[in-house]
Amino acid sequence: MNLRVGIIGVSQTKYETNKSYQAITDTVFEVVQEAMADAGVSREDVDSIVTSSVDLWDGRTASNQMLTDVVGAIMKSESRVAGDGLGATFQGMMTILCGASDLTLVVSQCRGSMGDPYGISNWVFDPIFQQPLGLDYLSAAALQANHYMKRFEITQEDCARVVVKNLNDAQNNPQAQVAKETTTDDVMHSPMWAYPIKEMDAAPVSDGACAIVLASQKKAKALSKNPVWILGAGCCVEAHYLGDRDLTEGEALAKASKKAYEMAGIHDPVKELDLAEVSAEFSYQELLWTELMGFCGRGNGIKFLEQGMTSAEGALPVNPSGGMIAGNPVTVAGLTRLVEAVLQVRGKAEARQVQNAKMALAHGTTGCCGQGQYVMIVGN
Amino acid sequence: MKKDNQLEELLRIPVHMKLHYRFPAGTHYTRFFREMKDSGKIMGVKCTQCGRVLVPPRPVCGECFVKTGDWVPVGPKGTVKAYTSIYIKFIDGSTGKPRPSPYGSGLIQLDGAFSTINHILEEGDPEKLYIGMRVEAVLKEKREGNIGDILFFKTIT
Ligand SMILES: [Zn+2]
Repeated sequence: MNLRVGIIGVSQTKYETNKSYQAITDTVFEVVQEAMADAGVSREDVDSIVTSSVDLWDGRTASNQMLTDVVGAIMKSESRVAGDGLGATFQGMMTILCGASDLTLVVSQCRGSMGDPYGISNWVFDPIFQQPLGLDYLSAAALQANHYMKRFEITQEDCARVVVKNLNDAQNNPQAQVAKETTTDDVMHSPMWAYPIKEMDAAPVSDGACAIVLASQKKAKALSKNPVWILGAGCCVEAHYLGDRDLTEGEALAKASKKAYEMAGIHDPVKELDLAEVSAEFSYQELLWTELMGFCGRGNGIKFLEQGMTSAEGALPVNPSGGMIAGNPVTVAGLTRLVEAVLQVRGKAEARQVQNAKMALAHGTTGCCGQGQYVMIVGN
Repeated sequence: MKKDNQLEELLRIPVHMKLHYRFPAGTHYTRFFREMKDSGKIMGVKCTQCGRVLVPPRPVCGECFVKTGDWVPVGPKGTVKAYTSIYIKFIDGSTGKPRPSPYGSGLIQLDGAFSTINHILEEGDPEKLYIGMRVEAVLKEKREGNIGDILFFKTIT
């Protein structure tokens, strides 16, 4: 990138099972105001707004329309990404890089508590060929989990270690929904949902929202003493139809990571990155994603974890926040990862702070079994 | 942060959305379901460029970005490429009732096809299921022209 885009304000809610003590608009107004205050800007300074939400989760058509007032979009440019919040950040970044905007607000919200999560994810699939057979994100992920685990001889206990790491680390994260001292036995004894995925292997479903303020290089330098820069970004999508994909591969994530590393000038992610916040909705995915992002060889995700490389004090901490296993605001998740990454490189991640964090990776995914992949590198 | 007293006070209004759609099946799904209904054959289409046989059949090969060509019969036997056993309740859209669990669900590569299809497996025990397992489609006797015409995949040896 010739000109860089800066992140000058961030905000996230606490992730909770149920935020019905607030209307959606109350929650969104809160994060938007906090992010603008964090950036030191007011509504007048904002040129454009990009929101991320999904109609079926919101239970209404073009559901971004309910946010017009509370994101301050009246008489401004607003567009919506019907998918992950990190995807919306790509769109926001482009509004700045193309010169259409100097200051862009990106907002993502989801209320997992409103509807029926697996019913909603059943609607992702082909209504003629796949929906009637009950395919949803859980059962599709179980197919991927089992295939991946069989191919690389990974056990259910191995996957349980991911949960143990995340739930224990989440105790340092006041925004986490689930955070507790956990053992592999706890995970192994949790009820089987879809073999080999058990209740504790799966992220909870949360209510939550995030907002960030993006600024052009010039504006970021003028407004902020220490903006966090987007140093690299890559996105890639693979075939939607599950039956066309080898679910143990995941070329899209490998490609998206490679592109982001090239842009950021990263040759060895393990040495050069200080931490990674990855969107893994199920325990096995954290292992699979870290392999595809090139942190270790194929099939070695578990070894990499067992060596302590991904622990909070490791060579490349993965999800010091606890990740999605500790809180899963569904379509917000990728933006949560970015907010965490920004807090880390600012040195403001409090009890979960990774020492001397200067460059971090944020990952988001959309669609089933990692169909769409977003990777962003941020740093000082 | 959670304010328990408010959570009790504020209303949550139940809304039930009931919408009806008529999804066009297009030329390819229509022919697929008609062939299966009338002759009990499962069909795929072959890409004119890469030669892969795609099931479900579709007008375009996404990999090559060209129109697909000839129709070829596939299956009814096939191989399990991925599987799971579902333990949590799923409401079966065709009956409106939960499907008895656990039940087997898999990605099945029909003989002669490149892509897999997801379907119900007769075998529901994860200890007995394996990748590479041979299965065969069991069709309904009175077929209606939809995916439910394949009842499940039975285990063969
Ligand atoms: Zn082709």
